[in-house]
Amino acid sequence: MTEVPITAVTTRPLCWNCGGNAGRAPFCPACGAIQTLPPDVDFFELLGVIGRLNFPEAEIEKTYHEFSRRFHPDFYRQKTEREREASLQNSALLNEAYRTLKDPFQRAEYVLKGNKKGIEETKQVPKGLLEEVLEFQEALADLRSSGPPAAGQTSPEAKALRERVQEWSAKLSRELMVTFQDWDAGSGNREALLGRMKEIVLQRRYVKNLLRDVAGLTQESLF
Amino acid sequence: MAGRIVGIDLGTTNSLVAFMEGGVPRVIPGVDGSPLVPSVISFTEEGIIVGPEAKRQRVSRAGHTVYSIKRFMGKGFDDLREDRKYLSFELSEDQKQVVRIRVADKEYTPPQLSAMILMELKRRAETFLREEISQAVITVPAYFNDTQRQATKDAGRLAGLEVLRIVNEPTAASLAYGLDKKRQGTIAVYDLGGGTFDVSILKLKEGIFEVLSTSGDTHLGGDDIDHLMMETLATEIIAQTGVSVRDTPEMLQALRDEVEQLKCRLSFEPEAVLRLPLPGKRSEFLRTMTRGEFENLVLPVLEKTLGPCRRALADANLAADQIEEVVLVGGSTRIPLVRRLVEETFRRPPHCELNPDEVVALGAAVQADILAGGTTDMLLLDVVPLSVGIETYGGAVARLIARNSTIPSSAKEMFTTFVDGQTSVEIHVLQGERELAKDNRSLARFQLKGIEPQPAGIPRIEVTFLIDANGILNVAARDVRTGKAQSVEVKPSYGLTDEEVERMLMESIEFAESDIHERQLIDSRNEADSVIRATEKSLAENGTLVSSEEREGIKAALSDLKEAREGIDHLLIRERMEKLNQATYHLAELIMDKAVKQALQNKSLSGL
Repeated sequence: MTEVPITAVTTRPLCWNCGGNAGRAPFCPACGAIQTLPPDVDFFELLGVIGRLNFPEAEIEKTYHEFSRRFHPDFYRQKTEREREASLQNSALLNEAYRTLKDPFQRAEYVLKGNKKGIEETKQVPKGLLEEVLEFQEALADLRSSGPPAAGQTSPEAKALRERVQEWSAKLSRELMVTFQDWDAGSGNREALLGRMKEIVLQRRYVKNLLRDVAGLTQESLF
Repeated sequence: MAGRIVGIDLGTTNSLVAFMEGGVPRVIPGVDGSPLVPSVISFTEEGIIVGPEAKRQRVSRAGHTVYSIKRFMGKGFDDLREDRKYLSFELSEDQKQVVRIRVADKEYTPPQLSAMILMELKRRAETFLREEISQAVITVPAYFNDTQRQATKDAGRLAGLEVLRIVNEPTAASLAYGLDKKRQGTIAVYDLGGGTFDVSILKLKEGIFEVLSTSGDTHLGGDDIDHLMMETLATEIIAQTGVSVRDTPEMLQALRDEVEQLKCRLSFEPEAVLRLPLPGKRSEFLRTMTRGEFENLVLPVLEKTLGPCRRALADANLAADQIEEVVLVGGSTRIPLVRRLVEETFRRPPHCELNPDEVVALGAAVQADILAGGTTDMLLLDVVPLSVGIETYGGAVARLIARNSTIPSSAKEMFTTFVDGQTSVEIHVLQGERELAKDNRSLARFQLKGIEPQPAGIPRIEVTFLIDANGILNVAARDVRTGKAQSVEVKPSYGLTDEEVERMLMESIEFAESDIHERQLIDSRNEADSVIRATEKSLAENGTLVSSEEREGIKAALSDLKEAREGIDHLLIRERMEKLNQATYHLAELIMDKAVKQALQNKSLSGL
C-alpha cells in the first residue's frame, strides 16, 4: 500500500493547465485538460438529470459510460501526475454518483441529505408499523425455533414469509416512485414530500434487515 | 515508444503469457509448443528450474519442488494448517505473519517464489518477441483480498516487471469473450481453477464491461478435489497393503500425480484406472474408478461454488434466468459435473467455446493493449470484491467502502485524538463482511504521525481511503486546519513492507549475478568437455592425416583448454576453446574429405 498525495481540492475555477476559466466543468473549455471535480459536486448535475427524481437507470447509465470513457485511469497512464490524480479522483466520484442515483432508495437518501434531512442510524421500528412488525417478528421466531433448514431446503412457512416481505418491499418501491413523480410534477408540498421519502426510506431499511433474516433461514438467494 | 506490455495469467497450476498483435490476443508458446508453464519450481544443484522440467521432477525431487504457491499468497502460517497435510515441501514455523517456504536450507516468501515463475514467463516472452519486456498486466482471482493483490504486485517487482495493472481473472476472461463486438448483454463468468473459485456477473454494452458483482472462494479449486481423492485413496492403500503413502514426500507426490491424471481422464471416459507403484513386495496398487463414483466423491467440493453464485446474483439484483450467457473458465470446468451444476444453477447450458486454460491470459493481453493505448473502444469497470472498513471502539467495524463498489472507489473519514497532547492515531483497516473486527481479515495498521499536541478532540485529520483500479487500497491523510498532508506509516498485517520487498530485490539481484555466472561456467565447461572428447577421438583415429608439427600444436591447445576447464573463468574456457578450434581446423577439413571420399567409394561399390 503506497501513499497517494491528496490534491487540495477547493473550488478552483482556473484551469491548472492554461490558466483559463474552467469553472466547475470536468474538462477545461479552453484547452480540454481534465480538472479535478470539486468533492461536493452535485450527483444529479454530474449525471445530467437536474431537477428530476423520476428517471430510468438507463438514462443515467449513458452519461455514466460516457464520463467513464473520459475519466478512467486506464487512459491516463502516460499523462502527468496531475492528470492521473484528477482521473483517479473523478472516476471515484463518478462511480459513487452513479451507485447512489441508480438505486431509487439511495437516490432518495441523497436528496434527503442534501435537504438536511439526513437519516441517522437507527434500529427503531418505523412509526405506525408496530403491529405489522410484531407479527413478522413472531413468524421469524417460530421459524427459528423449528431448527435450521436442511441444505437447499426451504419450508413452506419460510417461503410464505419471504414472499410477504418481498411484497412489502415492492410496495415501498411503488410508493417511492409516486413520490418522485409528485416531486417532478411540482405538485404537493416539498416538505411533505421529503417527509414521505424519509418514511419510505426508513421502512425500506427495516424491510432489508427482515429480508436478510429470512434469507438466513431459507439459505436461498434474496431475489 | 514505450516497450510492449504483456498479459500474464499467474495460475495455481499453470501460468501463461500473452500479447496483442493486430487487435488479436495471442498466447506465447514455449519450446515444447505449449503455452502452459506449469507453476512448479524445482531447486536443483545446477540452479532453479521452472516449468515443465520442474513438474517432471515433482516426484524424484519431492522435497525440493514447490507448487501451488498461489494458495499461499498473502497468507500467514496459521491460515495454511489444513494444506500442510498434503504438501511435499515444508513451511517454516518461525514466521507467522508472512508464510515462508523452506527448500534446500533456504526460506522463501510466496512473492519470491511467484517471481521465479514470472521471470520464466518474462524470458519466454523476450525470446519469442525478441525484445526486452519490463511491463505487464497480471491477473488475480477476483476474490483476492488487498493483501493477496499486493503480494502479486510485489512478485512482479521482484521479477523485474512493472505491474501496470492487476486484473481480475473472470473479468479478463470476459474481455477475451467480448472482443467480438456483437456480444452484448448480461453474462456470468464461472471460473474454477486449480486453487481458486470466482464468479462474476457483468453487463456488456458497447465496449463497456461493467462488473455488477463478484463472489468466490480463494481456497477452492482442483487442488481440493485432488486432496479429497488422495485422502480416500491413501486410506484404501493403507488398508489393503499396509503402505502409508503419507510417510514419504515422494510417495505422496506420486499419488498426487496419479490422482490428477485419473481426475482428468474421468472428464472424458466413463471409468479409469489409477496405477501407483509401491515399494516392497506388492509392487503396484491398482484402482478402477467410475465417473459416478468420482462425482459422488467430489460433489461436496463442487457444491461449494453454488453459494457464491447465488450471492453474486443477489448482489447484482438479478434472478438466474436474467443471465444471458454463462462463460466457463479454468481447467476444472472441464469436469462434466461442473457443467451440469452450472446449468442447473443458471438454468441454461454454459458457453464452452473458449479454451478455459488460455482465455484469462488472452484477456490480460487485451487489458495490456488498452493501457498501451492500442485498444481505445473497450473499457473495464471492475468492482472491489470485499467491503473495506475500520475498527471502531469496542472491536466493531465501520464499513467505508461496500463490496461490489465500482473501482476506483474512495471514502473519507475524520479522525481526532482521545487524550490531551496525543501525537499519533492508529487506524486498523479490515476487509470482509462480518460485523466484528476480529472476524474480518486484517489488512494493515496505519499510523497517523506527527500530530501537533493539542487538547483531546481538537485535531481534525481527514483520512482518504481509496481503492484504485487494481483493487488495492491507498490511504492518505491531511490535517484539515493546516491543509497539510499528514504522514502515514503502514504496517501490513500479512504482507511484506516496502522495505522488505526492497531488500529482497537487492538480494535477488546479487543472487541473479552469481546465478548467471555459475550458469555460464557450467555451460562453457560442458561445451569444453565435448570439444575435448571430439578432439581426442579425431587425434586417435585420424591424427596421422596432418604433420607431426601440426599434431603437437593441437595437443598443446588441447591441454591449455583442459587446464582452463578446471578453473572458474568461463571467458578463459571460451577463449581456449576458440584456439583449439583454430588449431584443429585443417585436421577437421581433412577428416571431412576422407569421409566424403569413403562415402563416394561405397556408393560406387554398391552401384556395381
